[in-house]
Amino acid sequence: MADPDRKLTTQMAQAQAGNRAAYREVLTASLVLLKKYFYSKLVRWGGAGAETIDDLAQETLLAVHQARHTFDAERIFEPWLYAIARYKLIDSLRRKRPNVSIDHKILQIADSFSALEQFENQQELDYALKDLPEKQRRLVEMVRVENLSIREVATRMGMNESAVKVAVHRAVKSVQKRLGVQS
Amino acid sequence: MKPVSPEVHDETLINALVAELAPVRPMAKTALRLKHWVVLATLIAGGSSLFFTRPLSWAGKLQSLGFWLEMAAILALALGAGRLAFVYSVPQPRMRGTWTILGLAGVWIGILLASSMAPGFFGAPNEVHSHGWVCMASILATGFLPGLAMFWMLRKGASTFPVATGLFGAVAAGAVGAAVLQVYCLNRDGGHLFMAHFGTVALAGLGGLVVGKLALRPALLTPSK
Repeated sequence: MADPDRKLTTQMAQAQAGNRAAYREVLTASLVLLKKYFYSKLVRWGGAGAETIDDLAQETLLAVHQARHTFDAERIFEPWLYAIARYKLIDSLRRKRPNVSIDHKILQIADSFSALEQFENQQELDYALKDLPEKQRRLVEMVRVENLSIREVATRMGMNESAVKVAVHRAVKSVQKRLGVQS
Repeated sequence: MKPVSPEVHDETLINALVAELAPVRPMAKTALRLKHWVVLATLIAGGSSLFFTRPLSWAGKLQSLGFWLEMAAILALALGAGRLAFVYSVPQPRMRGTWTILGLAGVWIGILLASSMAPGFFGAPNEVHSHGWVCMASILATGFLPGLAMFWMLRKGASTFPVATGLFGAVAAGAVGAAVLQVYCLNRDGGHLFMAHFGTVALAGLGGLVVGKLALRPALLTPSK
């Protein structure tokens, strides 16, 4: 049986050779991954709606199609896909000039959280979170444990969304620094 | 392929892309592309140097440690920057290796600084105080075609860091020009080498930023709605 971690990689290599069935599977699986990716980067942090996610995912699929010759079958498919997705996301944020600074803040928070979520020593992570000032800790808990969106947190805490984003970003950066984690 | 519109459903798009699928030849590995460019750049730069009006100037250089150290630093910069340009010409999740290039540039500057503290470090004393702009023009002229070849090769990829790719590509081409001029330049003064030689490579890098943005950025950008 094929290694599940390498399944998309193998199928993409087959697609490069012209295998349409493999290509369809790659695109279908990629679409799911891309929507999750854009959700984690945008919607969860209050940066965009579902229609933006769909548009970005489709535009990324087009870019994948155009750049499929640049995929190296000796490497894993997903990082290559996410590299294109990130590029499309940044380009999309640049086009929406008025929100660009807030959107970059959203990206920074999302990246910082991703790095923390990959941290393996859960106990050490919990200790670091407990050492945060009360308000910051509460904000991080709401986002991380209760899985609330930035908008919901802002409403509950009586703060505006930008202030929540800045506070959460600072808190996560502080935890990262304490744990020696890089985003 | 038409631009994506909100009306296009995922399934429709996937069907269209699958229908359009044709076999593609995967891009060659970075090392192989770099090798091709090095051969091409050496031939081009070597060939174009035949048109230099000034004669070869080996006076004392072959016995000079400074000359060889500087040449090694320039060639390492050309290879390092060229390699990185090819690495970044295909989608990469993040940038790595920039510090290596800055380090190599730092080594070059360090050698030039050492030369100002130890006269004769670069071999024979100055034969001629040639004008800096002559060297600048020569480096740019010698590096132009290797640079063109570099960008032609980079455009075959799809960079997610196009500006950085342009910068590294141009620095590599500029360093090739500087390496060739090392042999021809009559002026061995550290200040001249820093301003006219190193400065020109840095200037080429700045030009590469612009070229990268204009020529490499559109590769992954589909027509906007």
